[in-house]
Amino acid sequence: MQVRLVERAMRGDQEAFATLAAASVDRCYALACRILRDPHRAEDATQQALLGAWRDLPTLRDPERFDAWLHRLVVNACYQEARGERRWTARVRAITDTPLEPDVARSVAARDELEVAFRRLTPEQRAVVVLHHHLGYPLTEIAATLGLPDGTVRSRLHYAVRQLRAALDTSDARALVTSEEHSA
Amino acid sequence: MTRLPDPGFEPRIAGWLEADPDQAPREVLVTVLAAYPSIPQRHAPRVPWRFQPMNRFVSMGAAAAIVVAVSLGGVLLASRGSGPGVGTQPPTPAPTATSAPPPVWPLIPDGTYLGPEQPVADILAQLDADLSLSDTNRAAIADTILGIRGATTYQTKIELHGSSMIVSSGVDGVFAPEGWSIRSAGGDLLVASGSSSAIAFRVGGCDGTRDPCSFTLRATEPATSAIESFVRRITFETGPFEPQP
Repeated sequence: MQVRLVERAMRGDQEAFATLAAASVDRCYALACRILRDPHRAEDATQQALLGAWRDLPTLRDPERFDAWLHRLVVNACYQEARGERRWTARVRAITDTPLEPDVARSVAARDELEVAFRRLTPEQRAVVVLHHHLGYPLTEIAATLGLPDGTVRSRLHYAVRQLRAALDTSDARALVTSEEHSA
Repeated sequence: MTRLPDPGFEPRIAGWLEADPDQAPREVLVTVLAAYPSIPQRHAPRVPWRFQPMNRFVSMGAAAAIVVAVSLGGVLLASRGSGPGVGTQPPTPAPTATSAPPPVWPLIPDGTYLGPEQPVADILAQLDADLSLSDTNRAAIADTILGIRGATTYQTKIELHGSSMIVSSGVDGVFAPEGWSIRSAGGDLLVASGSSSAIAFRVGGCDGTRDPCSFTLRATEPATSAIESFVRRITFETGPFEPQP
């Protein structure tokens, strides 16, 4: 079904592309949001990718690879967005009146540590992490999608994971100290 | 010493990523659907990229019109969202907390809506008075983009059919056969809500107001050029769009 739509859109069928775009926009946005960590930039990247998809569809060689091709456009749009002017973003979390349970506090702390660590990664590293750990792409598939050598993808993932793991370890260590102090 | 792999690491990363949003704001798709028809696809080999050299001002005008149509179309289509009785709250965040839910207005009915008929002489006078425009830009707007030179009146027509919107401009009562088409994202449009006498809604950086029968549009995002600013003011922002029998 999708392949037929892609083929029609490649020939300039606007209705077919509208259907494809409607079916793909959430997936594109979800990917961009996770890479960029900024919903506004993710919106821009999603629009940029989908409009680029319409423009470049006739150059798509294999209609069955549309999804992977679109992911590549999203990732490239994210690179452009990430390299653009930085915009101020705020992360706000409600502060509860009652103290958090230790497990909850630990979870919140871990998420914060992950967030900070993830933002320190390069956009290229983030893309590999998201494609692998969120979309479940094998490394060879990521390499094919992004047009990179396998080794490059492997290397990016290795360094990214090392930093994220360090962030989690730090968080865990802090939680352990807090827990011991609480017990004492 | 070799570090043992942490079996909980990958699920924690995946779980953390899972918590991010999965659904794009509706205006993302609306913008894409409004903009892509104006973007030429890369042509196949042996097809000339362009059959005729395009007048630079025509392309500028088209770009300006598309930008305006995209942003204002988002407002208009948003107001045509789910009708009364659906019982949903507006998905756009309310600026202030209110004790009672805002009223939900009915859909803007399908049909043809006309903006005010503007004397061309007035438009040309505004054109001459706009110091942000060069003489070349003024000539382009009058001769090519609006095409009003030598005419008497200029008017904008908006046709609403289901979830589509077609904008066209008319000179001396004759409307161009081809307009700019805006399509909505589907049946899940925003529910417009507002005060008792006028409805206010904000989508895509534009504000609109309506009473039960007519509506007005006003862009709130700055124009990207002096030409666009002038053209969108004349085309969309000069007065209410009234339903036609």
